[in-house]
Amino acid sequence: MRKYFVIENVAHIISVCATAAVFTLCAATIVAIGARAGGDSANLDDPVAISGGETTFYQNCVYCHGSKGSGGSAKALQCRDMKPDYIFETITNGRIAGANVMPPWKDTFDEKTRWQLVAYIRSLRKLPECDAGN
Amino acid sequence: MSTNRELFHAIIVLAAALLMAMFAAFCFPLRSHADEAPNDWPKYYRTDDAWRYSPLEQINASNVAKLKVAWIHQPGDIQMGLQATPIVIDGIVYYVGANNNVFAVDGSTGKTLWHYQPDLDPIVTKVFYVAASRGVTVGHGMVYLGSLDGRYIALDQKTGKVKWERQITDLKTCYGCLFSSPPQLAGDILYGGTTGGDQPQAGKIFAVNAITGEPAWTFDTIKDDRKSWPGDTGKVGGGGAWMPGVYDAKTDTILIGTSNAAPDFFPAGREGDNLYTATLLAIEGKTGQLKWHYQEVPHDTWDYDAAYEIMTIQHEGKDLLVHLNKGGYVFVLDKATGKPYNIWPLAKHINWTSGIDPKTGEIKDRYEPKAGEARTICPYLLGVRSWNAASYNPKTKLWYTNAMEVCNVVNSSPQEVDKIGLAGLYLGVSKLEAVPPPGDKASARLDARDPITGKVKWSIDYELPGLGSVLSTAGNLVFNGDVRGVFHAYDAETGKELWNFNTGSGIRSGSVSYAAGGKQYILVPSGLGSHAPGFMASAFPKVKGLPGGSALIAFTLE
Repeated sequence: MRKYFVIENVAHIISVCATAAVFTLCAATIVAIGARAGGDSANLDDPVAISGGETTFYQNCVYCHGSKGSGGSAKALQCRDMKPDYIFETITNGRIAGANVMPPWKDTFDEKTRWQLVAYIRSLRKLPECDAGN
Repeated sequence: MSTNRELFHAIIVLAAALLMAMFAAFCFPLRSHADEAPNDWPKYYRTDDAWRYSPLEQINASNVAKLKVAWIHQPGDIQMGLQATPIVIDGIVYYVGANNNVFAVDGSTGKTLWHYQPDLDPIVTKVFYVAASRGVTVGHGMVYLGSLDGRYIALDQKTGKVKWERQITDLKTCYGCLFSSPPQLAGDILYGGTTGGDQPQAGKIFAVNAITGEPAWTFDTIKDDRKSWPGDTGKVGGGGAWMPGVYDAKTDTILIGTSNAAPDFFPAGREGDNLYTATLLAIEGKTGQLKWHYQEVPHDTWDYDAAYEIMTIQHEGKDLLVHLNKGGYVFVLDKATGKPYNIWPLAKHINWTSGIDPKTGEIKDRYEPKAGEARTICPYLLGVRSWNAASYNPKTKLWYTNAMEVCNVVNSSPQEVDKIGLAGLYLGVSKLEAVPPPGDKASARLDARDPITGKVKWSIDYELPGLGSVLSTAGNLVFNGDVRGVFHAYDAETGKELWNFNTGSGIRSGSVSYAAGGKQYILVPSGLGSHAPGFMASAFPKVKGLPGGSALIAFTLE
């Protein structure tokens, strides 16, 4: 009896945990989608998100990455087809490459702002100068 | 009776001596410090004249082509390159590499004598001005470091062991304000300022007792004055004194310059002169009391810091200060009063003003950034020259400085302080781009000029802007490293190149000269790593991708 009670409880706990895990996954997905979309219905091609990212870029990033992400002390961002998650992760946690040090920006920008930056940086892959082979 | 007479006589003699001393001090300007401790480079600018001039002449124009590498010291950490100016005393080199790695090195062999690195607060990796330091200061048997996490740390000069340390700033509450430059000595006072001209904070100069580390005084570079700073704008007004000051021991006067006002390009709301930003300060060393100030750019709206080296020269019986502002003008001021003696343009392309009155300092026809409009403004935010210093040679009476001609397109825009985080900048822009001057190309050069009038003796074009400090010596030589890493020696009189050496990575530091074991050395910190090339890349595309590095290279004759 005691044995069955334990098994039943374990089954119940597993069931609860599974439900919780599914719920958590769903919630995380919703949050991620929401964050990526800038907390609203925009996506990475949304001109508003790109424009917001551009302003943040020129206020904070141009010093190292150059105008329109041309590169300078840091690597060029323009004309590169980088995955959004890669860009977001780099902005979030920073990067060290030789003498170049990029601080993590997670303590500076909220998720929405970081995804707007991703949107702007993604937009740089299609600049006219990219077609010219520059 | 006889005793009284002797006493009276002694008093008369003393009074006469005192009067003569006062007369001499009044009539004759201070003599130069250039010949003091000729074998050493004991301070950031070598002397408090800030000449960056060595009186050594074993290496000279006739033999400089025979320079060879004597030794190389590698600090091991290359983040943000090597930006320091080494200190050399009695044949021992003291310098700091990336992430506050401090070394004492034998100046004859390059052997490490001791190494110290503080346990830095992890916050140092999260701020804008990461990793780089410009030097250490040596005195009172100690080596002083201003740390990346906001401390003053005093090390035993012989062992590198900590003698005292004191937390000065809290990076969490001042947008990462830190000591990128070494604090300086004013007798028993150790003083210095932090980064912060481009951050929403209020700058300060912090002084402690150099022997004990006990706090002495703090000077607010943002004046508590609602006429100067309406409302609360002063609380986020910038004003970091981020470069080393100099000290006049005779008058107990610290001379130090301050940064731009913030937000850099969006001035609405801070209508007023915004004291003491973009200002030269003369401060009493013992008390921190202001003696005089001269604001070069009242109500700065262009990011025109006044933080660079403050040089003293004697001219027509006067001690004059010579000081380059990022806005492209050289301010020549009376050292005793701070009043203008002359003001002349180093930059060829200046449009933020139609001119500055050389006698009154009045800025005519200001052309300011305007919200909602893209305006091209010259010079750009890195200035007509970056922070690394010029050199004055008393033999040629010439001032040697790097210069560049670049502008920026500015879209002025409000910025919400609440949304600026730890590493954020408070520039007040929605767009900012370095561009060539209208109708001209972006250019760079090394100039030899009369420091009082600006008259050009010679000028050499550079492909890319020089970002290191210039060195001149009594050997009729001028040394200057370029951003590719080639270190050049020129004839000081003619500008003819006499020798060069490719160090492999750009020069963003202060080369120095010293003597040890009877031999003169030229010491070159090599290693690019800096924010500057990123911003200038749109005007100088060839600056992209230059390699970083960090190595201290000593040259001597065979």
